Amino acid sequence: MDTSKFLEICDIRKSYGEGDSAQQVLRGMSFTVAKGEFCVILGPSGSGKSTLLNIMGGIDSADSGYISINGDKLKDMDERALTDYRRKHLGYVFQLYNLIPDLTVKENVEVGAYLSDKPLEIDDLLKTLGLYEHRHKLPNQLSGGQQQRTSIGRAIVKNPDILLCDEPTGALDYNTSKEILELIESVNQKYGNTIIMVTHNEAIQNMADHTVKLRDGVVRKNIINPNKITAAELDW
Amino acid sequence: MRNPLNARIIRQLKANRKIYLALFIMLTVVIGFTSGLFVANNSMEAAAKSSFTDHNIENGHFELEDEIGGLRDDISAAGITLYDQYYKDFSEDKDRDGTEDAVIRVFTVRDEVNLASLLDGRMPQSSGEIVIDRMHADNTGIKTDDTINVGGISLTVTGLIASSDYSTLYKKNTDTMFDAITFDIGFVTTEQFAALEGKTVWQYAYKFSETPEKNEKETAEELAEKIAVIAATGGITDNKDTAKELSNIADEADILSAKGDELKAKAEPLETEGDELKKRSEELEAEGKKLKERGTAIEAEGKELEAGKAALEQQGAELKERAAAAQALMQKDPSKAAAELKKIQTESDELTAKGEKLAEKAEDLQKRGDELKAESDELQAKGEKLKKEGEKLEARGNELQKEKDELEAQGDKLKERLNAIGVEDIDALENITTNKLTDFVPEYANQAIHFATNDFGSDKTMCEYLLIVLVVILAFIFGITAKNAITKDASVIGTLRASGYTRTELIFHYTAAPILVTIIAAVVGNILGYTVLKKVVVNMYYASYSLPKYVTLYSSDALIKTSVAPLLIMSAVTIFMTAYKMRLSPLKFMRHDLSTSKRKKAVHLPKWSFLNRFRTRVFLRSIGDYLVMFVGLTFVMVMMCFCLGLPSTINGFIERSGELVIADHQTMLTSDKDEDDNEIAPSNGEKFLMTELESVSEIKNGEVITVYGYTPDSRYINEGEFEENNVCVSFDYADKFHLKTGDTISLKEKYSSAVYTFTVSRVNAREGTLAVYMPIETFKNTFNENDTLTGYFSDEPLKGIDEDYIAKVITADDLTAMARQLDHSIGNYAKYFAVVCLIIAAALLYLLTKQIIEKNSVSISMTKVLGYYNKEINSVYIRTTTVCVVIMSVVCVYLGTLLVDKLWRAIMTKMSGWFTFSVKISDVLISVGGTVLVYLLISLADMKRIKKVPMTEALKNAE
Repeated sequence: MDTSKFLEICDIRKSYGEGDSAQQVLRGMSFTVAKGEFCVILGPSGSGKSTLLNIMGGIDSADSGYISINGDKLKDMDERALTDYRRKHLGYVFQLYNLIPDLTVKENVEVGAYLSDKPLEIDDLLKTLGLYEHRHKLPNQLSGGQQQRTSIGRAIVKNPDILLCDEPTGALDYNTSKEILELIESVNQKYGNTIIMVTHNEAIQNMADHTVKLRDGVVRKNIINPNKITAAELDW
Repeated sequence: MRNPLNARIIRQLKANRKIYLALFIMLTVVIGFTSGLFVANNSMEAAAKSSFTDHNIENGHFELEDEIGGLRDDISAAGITLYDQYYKDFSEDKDRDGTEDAVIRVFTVRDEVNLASLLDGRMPQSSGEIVIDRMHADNTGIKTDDTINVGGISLTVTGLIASSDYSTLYKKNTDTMFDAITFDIGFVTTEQFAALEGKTVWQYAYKFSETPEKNEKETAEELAEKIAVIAATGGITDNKDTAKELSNIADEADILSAKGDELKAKAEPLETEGDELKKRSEELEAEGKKLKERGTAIEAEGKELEAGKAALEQQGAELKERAAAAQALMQKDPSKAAAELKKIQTESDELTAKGEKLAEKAEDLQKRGDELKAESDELQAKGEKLKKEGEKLEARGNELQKEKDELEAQGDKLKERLNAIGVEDIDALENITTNKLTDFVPEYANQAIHFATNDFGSDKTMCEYLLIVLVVILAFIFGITAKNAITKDASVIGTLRASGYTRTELIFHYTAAPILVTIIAAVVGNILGYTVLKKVVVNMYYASYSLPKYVTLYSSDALIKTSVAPLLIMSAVTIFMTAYKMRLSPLKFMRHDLSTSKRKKAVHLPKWSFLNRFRTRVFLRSIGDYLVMFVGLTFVMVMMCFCLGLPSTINGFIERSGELVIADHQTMLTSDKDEDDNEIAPSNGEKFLMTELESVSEIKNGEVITVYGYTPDSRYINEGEFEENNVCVSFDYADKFHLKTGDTISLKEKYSSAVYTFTVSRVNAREGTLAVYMPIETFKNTFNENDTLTGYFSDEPLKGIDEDYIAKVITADDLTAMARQLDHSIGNYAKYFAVVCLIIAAALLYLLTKQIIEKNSVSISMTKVLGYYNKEINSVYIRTTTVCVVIMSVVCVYLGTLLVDKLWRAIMTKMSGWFTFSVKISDVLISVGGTVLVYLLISLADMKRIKKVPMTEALKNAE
């Protein structure tokens, strides 16, 4: 298996609405992501980056084209298979965290751990995430950065092949954003997960292995970054 | 400019159409049924009330032991007009198979008071025709033109009526419940009435000539007292005190008369003894006379003997002189002297013999004299004894004379007292024709007239409460729906608030949909209430009561209570709940931070498995919804327990009635003595005494309590002896009036102010009766003989007494009259109501589980995104609700049984009689099983709903 095509996006098209009001969001988008790569998808609002991420996550489906992971095409999967795909291979990190409000920090992480046969040791992970002392708190007792760390913990506790991050720093201040980016970077380095991060913060492309720039539903630039810097070195 | 947000209201309704439709249907049904009940109620109540004038309903009626006769004018003088309302009770055999199907009370057709409303056919015009009660006819299948057997005579039913004084078929006003199945009333022509052979009950209806000044109760009590007095005194007086004086005089006269008789009885032997004494005196006198004669004879004989003795002595002396002369001659003439001496010797011997005879006679005379003396002494003693007896007799005679004088003096005093109250002499009392008031029922206390109209009131009250409770529950559901809409629209609301929309505008925006639904439901409900549902209620009333025709009336009261009140409740609850949520700042809305409390801490949970903790968190998050579910299910379970338990309770009561009666036959006699004043004693049965008093209690006044006096060795009521004023009470009496051992009870006489107070010494296990038990001697010492009834308990019908002396026989059937009527009128509907309850439970569970799922839709969506299978999500969100529903069903049904017991007790306390409500385990299982089954069906829809929750939900929203 060619690990440079671990994730293959091929001529993906997607439109919403019907007839005259139909709006094409993705207009034939293609690129590949290698296993263990840190890929940043950049683009302005309406460029289709979140739609693309949803299709990658099996949450939404493309009108045409395909996405394959490790050679398995998502469009060939039924609902059960898609669920298994998300369960086994994906971890999600959202801009607004999407934590389950009535579960504690530890329980939110357990939500992810439950899905894996071999989850990471939760307390160790919580310590890594700097959340151990907050483990019995509810999300509404945490700061934005702590909530996002919990969200990352929930995503990576099952050690997924791919970590999909949708604007993970979009709701955070500069310092907290950098902390989160450092955390994602360390996760990538420590566990070797493939990371797909959607963001409109162009500075983040500097820490990525691979940057895909979108505009109006098409890939404008597909850049491999040979001189990536660490998250700590980022500045914007 | 119109508020642009208004366009969203319809969209909100569309978006939540299932919830709003379900709520709309429930509200419409509840408002419709309540409105129908109110309209039917008000219309029928108005018809029933107009009966008082349209059908000239009596102010009351009473019954006398005998025909009123000359007392009519005396009783009318109390300010009332009397109307004869005689009746005869007969057996009714509807299919003429020789078996009694009911008891029919036959009157003559009335044309003055208590007129009947003809509902079908025509009134009887000749002999052989009868009209009967419409409801009884419906209940038993009798139709116009049918022929029924009344007291052995075939009569054609020419029509069906509703009699204004029997809108509820109470056989007797003191009966626990009416009975439209085994009791009927009918009207025949005067000729037919006369031709029906049976005991006439002399009933008289009355109307006041002028409206009384005093209240109904006081007026009725005074009138009853007057009638009772007039009847008892044969019209001499209507004054209670005078009657009492008269009664006292009569009692004292009876005592005087008895004493006179006693005196006479005492004088009679005295006279006999006097005569005997006189006879014995005369006999003694005769004997004395005889003795005297014999004494005189003995005396004469004694004198004769004395004379004889003297003659003999003379002769002896002469012989002695001749012997001396002969001796002297001896010398002179020895032969002559010897001859002389020989002659003298012969004469001397003769004289000696005579002397001896005389001595014998004297001795005999002496003996006879002694005997005579002894007899004389004896006679003397007898004479003295007789004299003493005579003296004693005289003394006793003097005593009797004294007593007689005293009695005469007392008689004179009584006469003076009689004169003082206008009676000429004591003999006049003997000629008075007295009567007896046997029953008195004022109109206001007549259950046959008022039970139905009172029931209208209680139905309305119950329905009002039902409506309020349901509207409040629905309002909470509406409120929760609005709250959820606010949660969903949090960012929109934040933006609108930040843009300048006021909190009030937004509150009204989010409460508009529920209020609009309520208004539409009120309109549609009222339309249904005035049309379809009114008929349902009317039919229910017609199945229970014998009511006249009615005209549908518009009721502003109904409109207010079924439209305005629900609208206000709905608005208040939803506005309050919405306003509470809306008080947050625009920023918090924009941040989706809608927690109303300050940062809540997580509840610490034990080290359960992750999924169990997850389920617990879901439960804790939706605890408000589960509380609403709990309240709603409790309400539903109360209704379910009532609906399912009522038929079971009634049937159980009927089945146990055989065990509940004191004896298979409890026969009440019309009198304890026959016309010859001999005690009426049947050949079987055990005597008891009975009276009926009224309760004096904070719980309920005027409840009829039966007081029994039982024989010491009673086989039927064996409660033993008690200390003075101590009694035993029945279980039901204790239960209804919350009595326990040591409590004091007060019981009042029906038609007087006399109150008796007793201490409860024991509570026995007897159910089905409100009774007090005491030994017969205590009973006799406590109550006036005139106020008590004599009866006999027996296993078989009483034997050896005339039927005319039997006033009433109480059997198990009488005890279950209430139960049978309830079973007929409500029992059939109960099952349908139970189904309605299940539908309400289904709607409640549907709405709340939907709310719970919608509240958690983002989390559900998120778990899907993370890769959870639907069955895993179901196991978290649905299993939690399933466990809650099962536990709640069990807890709520338990609460339901407790609450329905309280509810039943409250209902029964207002009614006469008592029996406890029991919910069978099978009813509990059906309630729980039905609810769980309904929930399981709903949970299938919930699974589908969870399956439909889109994963994009998690991406669009943020908590």
